[in-house]
Formats: sequence, C-alpha cells, structure tokens
Amino acid sequence: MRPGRWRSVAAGLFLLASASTMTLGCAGRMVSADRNPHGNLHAELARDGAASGPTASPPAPAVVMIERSGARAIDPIAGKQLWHYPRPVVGHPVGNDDSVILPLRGNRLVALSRDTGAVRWITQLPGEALTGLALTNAGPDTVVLAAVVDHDDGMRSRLVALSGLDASPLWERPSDVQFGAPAASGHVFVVGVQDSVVALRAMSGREVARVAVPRGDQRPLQHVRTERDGTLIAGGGNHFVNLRASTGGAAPTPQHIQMGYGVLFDDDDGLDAGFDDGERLQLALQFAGTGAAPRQAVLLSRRAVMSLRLSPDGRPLKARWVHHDQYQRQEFVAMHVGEHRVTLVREDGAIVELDAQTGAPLHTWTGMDDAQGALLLGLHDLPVPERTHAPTARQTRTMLTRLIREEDARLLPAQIVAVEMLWRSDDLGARRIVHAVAEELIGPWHTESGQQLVARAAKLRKGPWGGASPKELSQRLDTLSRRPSFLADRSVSVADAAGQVVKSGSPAMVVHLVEHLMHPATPASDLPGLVQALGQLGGPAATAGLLQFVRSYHADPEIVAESTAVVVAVDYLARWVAQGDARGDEARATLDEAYADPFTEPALRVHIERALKAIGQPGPAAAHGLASP
Amino acid sequence: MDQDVDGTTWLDLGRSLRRYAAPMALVGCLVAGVVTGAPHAAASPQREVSVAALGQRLGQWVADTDPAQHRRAVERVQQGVPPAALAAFLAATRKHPDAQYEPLLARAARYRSVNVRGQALAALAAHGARQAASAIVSAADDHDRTIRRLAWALSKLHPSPSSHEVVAKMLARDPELAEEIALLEAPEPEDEIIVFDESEPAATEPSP
Repeated sequence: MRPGRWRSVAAGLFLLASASTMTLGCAGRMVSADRNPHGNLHAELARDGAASGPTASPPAPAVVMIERSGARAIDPIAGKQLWHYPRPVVGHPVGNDDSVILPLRGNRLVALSRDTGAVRWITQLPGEALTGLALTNAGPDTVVLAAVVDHDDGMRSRLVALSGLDASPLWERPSDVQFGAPAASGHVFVVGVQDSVVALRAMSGREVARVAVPRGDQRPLQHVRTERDGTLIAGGGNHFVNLRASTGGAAPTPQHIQMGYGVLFDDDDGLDAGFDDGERLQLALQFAGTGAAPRQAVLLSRRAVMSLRLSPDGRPLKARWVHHDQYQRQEFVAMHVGEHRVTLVREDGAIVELDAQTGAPLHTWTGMDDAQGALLLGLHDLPVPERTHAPTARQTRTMLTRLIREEDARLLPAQIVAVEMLWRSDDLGARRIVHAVAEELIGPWHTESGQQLVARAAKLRKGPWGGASPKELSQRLDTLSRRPSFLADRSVSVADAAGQVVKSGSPAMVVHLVEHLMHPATPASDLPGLVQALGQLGGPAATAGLLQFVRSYHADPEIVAESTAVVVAVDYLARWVAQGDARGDEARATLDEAYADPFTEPALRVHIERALKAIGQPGPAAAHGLASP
Repeated sequence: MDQDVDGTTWLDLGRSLRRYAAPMALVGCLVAGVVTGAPHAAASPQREVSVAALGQRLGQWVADTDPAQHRRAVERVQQGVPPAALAAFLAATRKHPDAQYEPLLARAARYRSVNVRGQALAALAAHGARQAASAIVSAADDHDRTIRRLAWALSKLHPSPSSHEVVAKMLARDPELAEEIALLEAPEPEDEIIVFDESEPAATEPSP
C-alpha cells in the first residue's frame, strides 16, 4: 500500500473516531449528585442569555393547545388556526422560534414546524418515562434535551440530547439519582440533580458549572424554568432560587413565596404526566430588573386571575388587580405572563388576553375544541395598544369583594387569597370586609366552601393585620410595650404609634393601646389619638378599653376638659350603637348610664344626647324613662 | 385639685410636718386632704354638696358591716364617680380593707388625678404586705413627686427589702426628694440639757 493511501486510511480512522466521540458525546460519564460546586453559572447564563437575544424578525406568536386527541396551534393575534396535529400528546411540549416538540405515547417525540405543523421527525426516546423536555433556540445547532427515567443497569435517570434538525443522538449523561425537569438558556441546559443545579453545554453535554442549592422545604429540585425576562428559577413547591442571581459556585439564596394557594412548581413524582388539575392553581413570578427577589406575582386560580405585589421576603402584600368573570364558568388551564400581557387559555379552548399592568381584558378568541393545557410561544414582546389606568385601591377592593361573594367552590383558593389580601391592607375599610365575612354578613357562607372561607376570615382576625412585615410589627410592639417610667427615666408618646397600629398591627398592640389610654403619665395630648385608634380598630379589647375610659372619666370635669378624648370616645360609642351589633348594646348601656348619672359633666351629657340623635337613636331619657338630672 | 378647704394643700401640710411628722402622719395628711374634698374651680356649690354627699354615702357603705352595702359601693364606683367621691371611697377602704375592693383600687391607682392615685395606693397598701409592696413599686415609679413621696412613707409603714431597694433607687433618681426625705429622717435636735455637777455644792438661795 502506498504511503499516501495509509495516510488516507489513518485520516479516515481519526475522523471516524472523532465523529464517534462527537456522536456519543459524554455517554457513560455520569452526572453525579454530590460533586462539588464549580464554574460560574451566572457567567454561563449571562453569556448564553446574551447570545440568545431577540432575533431580527421574531416569528408570529403561537398558542399550542393540547386537546384530548391532538394539538392545535392558534395565532393569538389574529385568532386563526395555524395547524392541527391529530395524535394525543402525553406530556408538556416545548418550542422555540422554529419548532414545537410534542411528547407522544410510547416515549416518543415528534418535532413539528411551528408555522405549519409539518412533521420534521419522530423519534423513540430511551428509558421508560419522560421527566421533562428542554429545547435550545432555533438555528442549525438546535438541541432537544430529554430527561428520562431509566431503571436499566441500576441507573435511575438519563439525559438524552438530540439534534433538533433530525433527532440524531448527540450525547447522553446518566445519573444514579433522578434528574429534575430541565430548562434551556441560550446554548446551555440547566437541570436539577438533588441539591445541585448543573449547567451543561448543549452541544457536548460537558458540565460547565454547578451550584449547590439549599432545599427550602426538604424537597428535591424538581424543576428549572424560565420566567419572564429570562430569569431562571429552580425549586420545588413554593421554594425556589433565582439562578441568575447566583455568583460562581456560591449557593443562591433560597426564597419562598409565602402563600397557602397557588404553587410555583407543581408537586409531582418527577415524571411528566401531562397537563393536570394542579396547573390550574399556579403562580408566575415577575422579577424587577436584575433583582434577585420577585416583586410581583400573578396567581392563576381556576376561574380567577389575581396580580399581587410581593414583599422582598415573598409575602403577598396587596392585590393589584383581579380578573374574574362571574358569567363565565370555565376554568383557565394555562397562563403566560408577559411584560405587557397576560395570556390565558380557557378549558373551552378560548384565548383571553389581559393587560398585565391593569388586568383590563384586551380580547377573547373563541376556542375550537376543549383544551387540557397549552404551550404559549413568543407572546412576551407584544405591547398593549391602549393602556387603561391601573385600578385604584377602592376599585381593587370592589373586585376582591365581588370575587368573595360568588358561590363556587372552585373559587375558594382565590377567595381565600382575596380575604388575605384584604386583611393585609393598611386600609381599615378593606379589613372591615374580612370582619363581615367572619361574621357571615357577606359571602356564600351556607356552602361548605363558604364555611371554610368564614373560618379563614375568623382565623385572620386573631392575627396581625395590615401590610407591615413581621419585623416591623415586632418593632412596633416593642415600642408600645414600653410604659412611662420614672425609675427607667422614660416618657413615652404613643400618638404616632397608635395611628400606625390602625394601619398594621396585632391584637397584642390593642391591649397596649388601652394600657396607654388608662396610664396616668400618658400626656393629655396623646389621649384623643389613642381613643381614635381604638375606636377605628373596634375589636373586643378596644371596645372594652373605650367603655372603661368613658365610665372612669365622664364625671371628672378636669379630664373631660383637658382634651377631646372623652368626647371622641362618646362619638365612637354612638357609632357602634348605630351599627347595631353586640358591642353596640354595650355602648348604648354605657351611654345611658353616663347620661343618667347626675355627676356627668353637663357639656358631655349634652354631647351624648346629640351624638345619639345624630344617628337617629332616641335620647336616653326617652328610651329608658330616666329623668334628666 | 390638691387644695384643702382652707387653701392649703395636703402637700404643704406634709412639708410643714417634715421635721416632726412620722410617715404615718404623712399618709394621714394625704387622706385628710382628700376626704375634705377638692372641688373643681368651675363646679357649682350645689354640685360640691352632692359630690361630698356621694362620697360620704360611699364611705358609709364601706364602713357598714353588711356585705350587701359593700357590693353596692363597688357597683356605684364601677359606674364612675367624681374624683372627690372616689377619693372618699378609697379612704374608707383604707380603713376597712376588703379583698373585693382590690380590682377597683388597682384601677384607681392609675387614675389621672394625683389625689385619687395617692389615695388608691395608700388604700392598696393597707390590704396586705403583697399589695403594699406592689403599691410602693407603683408609687416609686410615678412621674409625680407627690406620689413618689408617698412611696417613701409607705415603705416606712410596710418595710421590706424589696421596698427599701426600690425607694433607694427612686431617691437616687430624685435628689431633691432625697434631700427632703433626709431632713424628715434627721434626728430631732435634743433639748438643751442642763447638767448639774453634783460635786459642786448646789447654789442656795441667799437667805434673806
């Protein structure tokens, strides 16, 4: 053989070896669960995020409906069908600007053209079941990643990367533990492996970074997903970490959305069983700029959608808007929260778009067939043509009240969140609605779900109110628990604190307010403010405090004259009489006694008479036959 | 408010007694000042008479041996009475202690009027050692010096290590009162004693 021929054979063997290495990739190299953190996840995501910026001509948005017998793509702008694929879909699809990948029965995948629905390839995945799919951006190097469960050879899970063009295998990475559902960011796949999040190069499967993620509630990292503006979060239940906020191998700070209803990540057994009931109660986060903590969230709760403002520690502070159509009984099955629009898919296949800032409905497209779920693609860059004003606090309160009033057990999660938002309002009027629910004055209390709502309202009433954080409440309680003391060289003014308690406080603070009202060293100038705060709060302790104050001082000319406190207290007592509840009876008895007492300050007696007349109540003498002294 | 009928305050009375009065006298002085009434400047004479009559009636009910009358007094005070009548009631409970009055006394010990507060603390202290200790602590912590002075007097009448400690702390915080108390506690200057030297023959009246 000629030397040149040998060279050709050697070159051929080298190319074959290279090709097989490329083809097999990292097959056989395990993704260990307990490897030390390394690399810089933040830098990897930032680099690939930049590489995956908006394309010059983004394709038209598409909503891929998953129906009982197939998938249907709709153009949500024009409301027209793009294509229909007539085979049942068994998991969550993924898509990019070019393709849609659907999981089919028998652990198969099909790739369709996003625009036409033309089948590009169908392939069989290894393993027994699918955990989740991820897909990199459109282009010649598109990669599909599937996490599959595989019990062969003692391995529990496997990552399988396929070419997005023809489904040819690129690489595989087994693991002795189960992978979570992966996500793609640019040309990097991110996947949870027990207590770590691993970044793998899409083309080669090479592990380029890993961060240790502390578990928020002892749950494994089941999911990694991309929120609006490309924020990647990983977590389980309502615990999550913002991966874009991680630096190097350092662990990102675990965060928690403190809500009883609506979850970030559906709790499942790690297998993608398709769209289920739990997804109709979901939470989407909205991060502000590069901040690590989300500042807003949108709660999808079956028939209602609620936009919420969050505190830095993940507590819902207030409702921004509510979308709830009392005449539409269908549930929403999918939601996409964009910067400008919230796009919803209803179970009758209708597409509803709302203004993300105001909650105002933009348009609704009637559905063609019932939908179990949907994949929403390319929706986030569409501005709203004409923006309405955001609802005022009063309008939001009305929306929440309307939601509470409707009798539908499916609305209970949203109603409970609504009651919580009203209770966390600094507005006393909003909290009165919660009192009314607890006292069964409003709401569907005659149903089982209504009774649950009443119980929730009653429980809320026993705890702190308003929007202050636990830390702020603790500081406020500390301030109020101090009494004027000569030995401690302490004089206390609580007029400001009293006003703050009306906005945000706790039952323990009311007790302190009463103590300050009855404390001899409280300046006379503070007394009207204290009376006003107690009168506005009006709970049992506040009521008892004001009744005691009026009884103690109605016959003391000096105290009646030194401030308006006793007069203001009488006004609140008269107001409670007008409301006609249990405390009104007590208030009426106290006013009658004070009126009948011959030692009551004459000016105060006149005021009692006027206050009762002002609310349309008969004067004490007329009502009880007491002779004026 | 603290004015006696003849224009002097019970505080002034206390001061005038400073070198000679025992703590008991100081507390008694407080009682005397209040029982006689502290009519409001704007109050009508008719009202004064009525308030005094109410106070007297409350005192009689407390002094009565019939428990029903005691309950009657409690119920009337719970409805709220003018401060002078309240003080009369408190003074009576000091002389006739009864556990059923204690909640009212504790409440009156936080009344805004100094006079009522002082009466209530003195009455509370008369109800037992525990109540006395509590009254002394409350009085020592009061922002009004008159009541703090009462704390010292009560601590002399109901001595205990804890009351001694709290009064010492109070006096350390109030040098002016400490000075005043020091004068009260100073030993009386003894009368001049003429010592006769028995060695010397007594002077005898010169015989006429």
